[in-house]
Amino acid sequence: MRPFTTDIFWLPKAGNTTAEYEDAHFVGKWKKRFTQPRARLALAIADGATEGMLSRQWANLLVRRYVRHLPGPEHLEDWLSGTLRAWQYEKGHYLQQRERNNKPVQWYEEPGLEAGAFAALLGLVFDVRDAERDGTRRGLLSWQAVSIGDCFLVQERNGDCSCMFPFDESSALNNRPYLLSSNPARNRGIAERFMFAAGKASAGDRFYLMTDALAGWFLRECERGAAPWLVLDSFRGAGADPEFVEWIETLRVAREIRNDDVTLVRLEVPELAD
Amino acid sequence: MSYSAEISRSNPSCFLFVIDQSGSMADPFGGQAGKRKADGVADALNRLLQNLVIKCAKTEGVRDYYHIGVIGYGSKVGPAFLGALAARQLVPISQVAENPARIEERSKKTDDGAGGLVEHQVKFPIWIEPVAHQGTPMRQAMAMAQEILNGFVAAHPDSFPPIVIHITDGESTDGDPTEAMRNVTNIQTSDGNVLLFNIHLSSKAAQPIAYPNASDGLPDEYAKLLFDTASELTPFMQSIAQEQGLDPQPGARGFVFNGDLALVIQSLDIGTRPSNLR
Repeated sequence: MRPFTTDIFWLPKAGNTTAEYEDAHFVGKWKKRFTQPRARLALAIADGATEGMLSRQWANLLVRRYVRHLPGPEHLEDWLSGTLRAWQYEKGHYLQQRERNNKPVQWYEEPGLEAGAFAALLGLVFDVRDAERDGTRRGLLSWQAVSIGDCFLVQERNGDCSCMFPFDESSALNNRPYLLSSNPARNRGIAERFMFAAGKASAGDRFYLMTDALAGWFLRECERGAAPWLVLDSFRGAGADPEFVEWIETLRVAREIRNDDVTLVRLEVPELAD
Repeated sequence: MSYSAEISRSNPSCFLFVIDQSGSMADPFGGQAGKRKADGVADALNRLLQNLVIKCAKTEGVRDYYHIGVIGYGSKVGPAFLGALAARQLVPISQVAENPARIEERSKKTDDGAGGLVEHQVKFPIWIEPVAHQGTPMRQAMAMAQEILNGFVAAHPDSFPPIVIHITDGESTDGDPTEAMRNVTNIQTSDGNVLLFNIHLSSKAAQPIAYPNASDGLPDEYAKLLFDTASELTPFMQSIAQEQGLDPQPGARGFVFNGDLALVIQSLDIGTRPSNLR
């Protein structure tokens, strides 16, 4: 079985520097692990809230810990507790660094640090074992996804969006999503806020994970009968790919996409047996 | 569509506070003994400025999404910032953040995450002190606001329209201010007209009123004048007011009687604001 093909594209909000990009993405090391029959393959994206402090750091912690621990629905609360402990350590380290660098926390930073950081998270995991168990080794691969907030996942097969998650209408997007907070007091009832999805994948299926601004464009295009995945498939570079950057900038100028950080992870499912 | 321009460092908007510092502001506030209207103004304004700064704060500093001005009117009409910002008409918000006249410590109760409250000390920056002297030259103050905003709009013609927050007890002593207020709200960018919010502080111990859509039931002629001259809430502000249970009716205006204007800050759209962050 060949490894999955993944491409990542991202750029910060217009007017912001790369250091101010507050989305995050992380793709597990599947090429290496894929040779192990029981391995799972995972990736995640997150979108740190504009309002709030240390949003970028929180988003990065979430994607890394999701890929490392792959919490299923039954383990999410434990995973969140561990993540909040890890955050306390990371935040403490940040504050120590500020002190060491003689840059004490200012009065206007204190409320934000106390309120906590906020981010949307979407994680996707493919289970290789299911494919291996298929007698012909040409079976279907299973996947599971978890989401909180307004990151977006699409599965495309033969020109159809066979799955959109966790919403399927552009009207579902606004500037006030419920997000995962680094402050436990802001996470009341969080267990009911997580959304789950699961499905099967075949060779040639494409998965697109994207943050909310691009999701809004994608859904509006679908709603007018277009095939936006063809556009997303056309980019050949990765990271700050000049063609991707130019395309997003054009959409921004035309106000067809909200000026926000943009992240796209594109994944193609390989032939399950060579 | 109006009131949809992006607010960013490259396309900042503007907040201009116009505050009554006349002698009548020394009268009691809302029937409360020991608290003067001037104290109410200073508290409200310092809190608004604090919230505005916090909204623009990131770990690398305060982003200049807004330019801020404060005009006081009483014994004179002019910039009212104290300390290093004294005499400045409009300053980027990062300079407001860096230059309070002083910082007080106040106690605050917050959610402890386990169903209880915990009291702790918080910093409360002061840019404006209570002042109450002489007459109420409201027309003159609005003329100065008009001049300042004309300058801002000329420099930022495509910005989200400036927001004027006017805090007063409503008794103008230099004539009817209606036309001067209309002159302010007639100023526009390509994204819409200047938004005027009037906050009316009264000595009467009347129930607070927030964002009415008619002047019926307002307690006096001053309140009615301030209602008539206030701008209508934008659709986005309406939606935030709705979310907060204020139940604004169509045509609701930016008028508040003996209340606070927290909604104005909460309804500023500079990017994603989590619904679980209040």
